[in-house]
Amino acid sequence: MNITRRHLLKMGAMAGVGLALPLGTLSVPVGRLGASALVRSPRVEPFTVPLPIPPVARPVHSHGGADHYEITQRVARQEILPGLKTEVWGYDGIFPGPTIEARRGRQAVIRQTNELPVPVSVHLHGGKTPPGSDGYPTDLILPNGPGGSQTAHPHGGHAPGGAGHRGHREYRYPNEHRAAALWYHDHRMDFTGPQVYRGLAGMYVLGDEVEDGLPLPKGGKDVPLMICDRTFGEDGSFYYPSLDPTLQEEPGVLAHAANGMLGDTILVNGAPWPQLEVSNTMHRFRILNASNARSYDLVLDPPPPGGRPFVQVGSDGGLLEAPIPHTSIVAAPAERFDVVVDFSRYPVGTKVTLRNLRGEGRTSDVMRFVVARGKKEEASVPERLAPDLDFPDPDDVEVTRRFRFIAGVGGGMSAINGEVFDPGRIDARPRLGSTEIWEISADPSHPFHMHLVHFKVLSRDDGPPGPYDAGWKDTVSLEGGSVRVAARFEGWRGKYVFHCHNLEHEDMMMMANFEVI
Amino acid sequence: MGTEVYDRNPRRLAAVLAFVSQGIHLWVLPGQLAAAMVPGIFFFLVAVGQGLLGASLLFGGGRWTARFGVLFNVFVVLVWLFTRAVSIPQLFEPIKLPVEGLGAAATFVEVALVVSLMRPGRSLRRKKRLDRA
Repeated sequence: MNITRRHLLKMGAMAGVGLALPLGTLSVPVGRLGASALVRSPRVEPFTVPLPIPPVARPVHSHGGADHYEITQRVARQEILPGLKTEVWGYDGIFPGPTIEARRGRQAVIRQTNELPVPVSVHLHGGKTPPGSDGYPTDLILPNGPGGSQTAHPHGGHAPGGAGHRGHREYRYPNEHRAAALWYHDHRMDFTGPQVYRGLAGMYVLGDEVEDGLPLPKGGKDVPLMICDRTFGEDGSFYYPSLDPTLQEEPGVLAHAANGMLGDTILVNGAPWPQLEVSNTMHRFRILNASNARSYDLVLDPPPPGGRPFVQVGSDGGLLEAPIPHTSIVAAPAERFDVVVDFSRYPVGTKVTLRNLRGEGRTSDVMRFVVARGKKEEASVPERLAPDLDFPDPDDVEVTRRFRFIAGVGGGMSAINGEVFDPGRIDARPRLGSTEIWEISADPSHPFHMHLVHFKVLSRDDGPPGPYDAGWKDTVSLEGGSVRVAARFEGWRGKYVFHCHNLEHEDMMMMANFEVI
Repeated sequence: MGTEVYDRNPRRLAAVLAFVSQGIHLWVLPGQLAAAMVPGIFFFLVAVGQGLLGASLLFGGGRWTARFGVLFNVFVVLVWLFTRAVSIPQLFEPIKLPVEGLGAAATFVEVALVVSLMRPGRSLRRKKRLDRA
């Protein structure tokens, strides 16, 4: 075959237009994905920063059985990594936000002011809250200034819908349920992941007389541990792979993070791999996994003689009936574990590292305790913690519902029963006061969270509940397989959501509505 | 040239349509691939296919080029229709994709491309029958 000039031209055109041009175009997103995947935080020497304790919010006034708080969500700069300033979006400009210490039977009224450039919604996670104060994803506080309108391009083509408050609004939390370690965080439609990542999260510790009457560690020995992971840019800024870093328009993350943003730096109460000096006595730790997507398998290294260093006294929904000793604590995003560690099992001077068996490299360390001094023990863990927890009676079950959580592939939408979130679609209508069994299955792993109700795990993978399923739960980890939970729909009629608490999955529409009727 | 079987004008029209379809897919490719791998890779492959088709047609595509062009574009149109009729949110973002302007325009171009590739083929067969007679 003769190679003519025309042949050469044709081959050149096919190579140029058919291959080089598409490959050249491909290089733009591939380069963006590659650069994003290669971001590494500045090096921090672990266990050099003391563990900070978030300040406790004080009511601005109290009357009529209610404590009134004022919190302003604003941009601030905070030293998280030593020597660098990080821009945080914080409740009162701090990360974590101030801890709210509430009492059962006393209403907390929180006026949230939004000085951020984006809409926000505040959800009290684990709170039994009326629908108007639950932080429904489209029930937004819009910013006062320009930008951050409610018209961001939502996933799935759904209308944003929902209410919009300009500048500020009040959330009313009745606090009628048992003492428990709750937390509050942003819940804006499509943008919860990046907004929590930038700092919009804080602890909410609800106390009651039952808990007061127990000899558990108190005061400075009752320590919140909000554990989360973040990646930082070279300048100390949070790095989050948003498609639109302004969080104004296009929701979602770069495809490599669609199954969950995993940071390379572990923060506890907003400090990287901190250290806490303790006496050789019992300490109570309210462990919250506030990570967007990372799960932890927490152990103490070295383990104490005899093992089983964690004595679990409470779960998401408050105190257990009886303590449960654990060798490790496996915590999915949003789960809380209320544990007591007895440091008298270690000699004074021992350095005890809290490690994450699911981590790799730097993320396998969490924080360090230094048993710095001897002290007389004043606390104990009684064999009986809480009165009868009044779990739902399976004989009272009216309805059994099944929901299957399936994650998207390579950036595709995540779905429940094949449907992505639509604020206008109701997927379950439980009757007020009724008990239902929900069977949740998941592929691959999803922390399942219900608003409004606490539930009891009845079974896991058709067997008994797992070691971390005890007590009342509002979030339960599924790692493939299935769980059956019994929930009693009490409190209020109205529309609430249930969703995956991997926040990237949630933002990728793995959420659905139930309406209590 | 033995493989050059079409009249020049329909062939050039088909080449232009292939390049238009390629351009649309290249336009949306960076955003799609960054957000969602499966549609992004699909758009890349469509852009490659349309570019090769257009270049080949411009320089005298033969019968096999036409057959490839018809089958390829029918496949692309069917994928577009399928992803708007069937809910597979885990793969195709977003669920039941809305008939967005660019997608509809690309589909219109691809249907026109199929028609433009089939018409010369029919005229060629008619011409051959007449020649044999």
